[in-house]
Amino acid sequence: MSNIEVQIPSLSSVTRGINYPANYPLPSSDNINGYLYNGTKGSFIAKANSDFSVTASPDIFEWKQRPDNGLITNQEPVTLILKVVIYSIDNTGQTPFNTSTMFEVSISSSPGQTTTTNTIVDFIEYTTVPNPTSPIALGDPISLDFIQGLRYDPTTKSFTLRFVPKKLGVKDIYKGIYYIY
Amino acid sequence: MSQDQGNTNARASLSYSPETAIWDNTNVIIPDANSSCLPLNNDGLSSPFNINGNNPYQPLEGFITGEDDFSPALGLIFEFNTVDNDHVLPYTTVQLEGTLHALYFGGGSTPASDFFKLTWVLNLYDPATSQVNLFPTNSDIYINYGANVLNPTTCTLSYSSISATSKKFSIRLNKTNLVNSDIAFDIRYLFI
Repeated sequence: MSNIEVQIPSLSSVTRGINYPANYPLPSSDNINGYLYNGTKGSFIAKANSDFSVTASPDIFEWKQRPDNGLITNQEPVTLILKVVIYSIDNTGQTPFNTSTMFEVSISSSPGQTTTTNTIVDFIEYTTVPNPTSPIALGDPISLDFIQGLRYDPTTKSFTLRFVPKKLGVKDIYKGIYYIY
Repeated sequence: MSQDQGNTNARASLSYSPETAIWDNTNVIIPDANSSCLPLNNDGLSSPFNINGNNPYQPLEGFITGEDDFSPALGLIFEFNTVDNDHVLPYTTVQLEGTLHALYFGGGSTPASDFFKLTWVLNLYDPATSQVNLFPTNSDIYINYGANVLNPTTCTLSYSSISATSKKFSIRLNKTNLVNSDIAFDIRYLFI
């Protein structure tokens, strides 16, 4: 008996709104309903060379919500959780890359917040000792500054992830899962 | 989908590879060949996320539910068909999170449950190199009711390079000797 069910995923665009598939009315005391927007999740993958400067780094991801009205009783997702694995790769050969490191990082705001938030509310790092036979020795595999690179903008109701490398001389691949709610 | 952000040094994409499975104790979990989690055969040096000829696997998340006697252990096997050893970045991080429910000795058969998370981060710089019986990089039991069901520090993961085009992750989840019944489980798995 085989009960394995495989779902072929559909791809979404970078700027797709996350107010799908529905928003639900909220009860309110003054009979003006707001909406509770759904959370969502997905995977992401990106690469960057290390020649970004802090000021020149582009926003790589934008998780943008599209509220359909301005009711203050709307409840949009304000929490972003990332599970990220970072690979650092040197400039030679095909196979060498440094040991990977996994991060779980989250930011959270409040529905009434009016200023941009970049406060890390949770951060966990899982790593192993660098492989002694690895072709490159980076010492510190942390090549992304999440404090500067992860933001929530209450005006546009959007989360953004920006590459802010902490180490030069390598290329990085970032991939992982995001959860927004 | 990939999207160039206007800077040749940065590319990004969003996608999602969810897989759900009901465990029947006989199946090996093999992502469908058309799943977007696997590198494409035609990914060449010009592919969006290629670096020096390496193409990464897409992150993969799924869910397993079932019941097993965990005797001697619950084996979870994930096999991934791939391109070759030279043109891929393999999965290097595996995370399991979920709940286990069972009965245990003591005061009769009493309900017990765990809410746990196990994480393995591998030094897998060469996809052709097998690694066996790795203990978790990190293990947590967040909530425990009745008695411990999972023995987290003895759980292991083995990575096997079956061939240049087939890679296998074998996970063994061990119970404690207190458990006196089959174990029902709901487990979310994550490969990055």
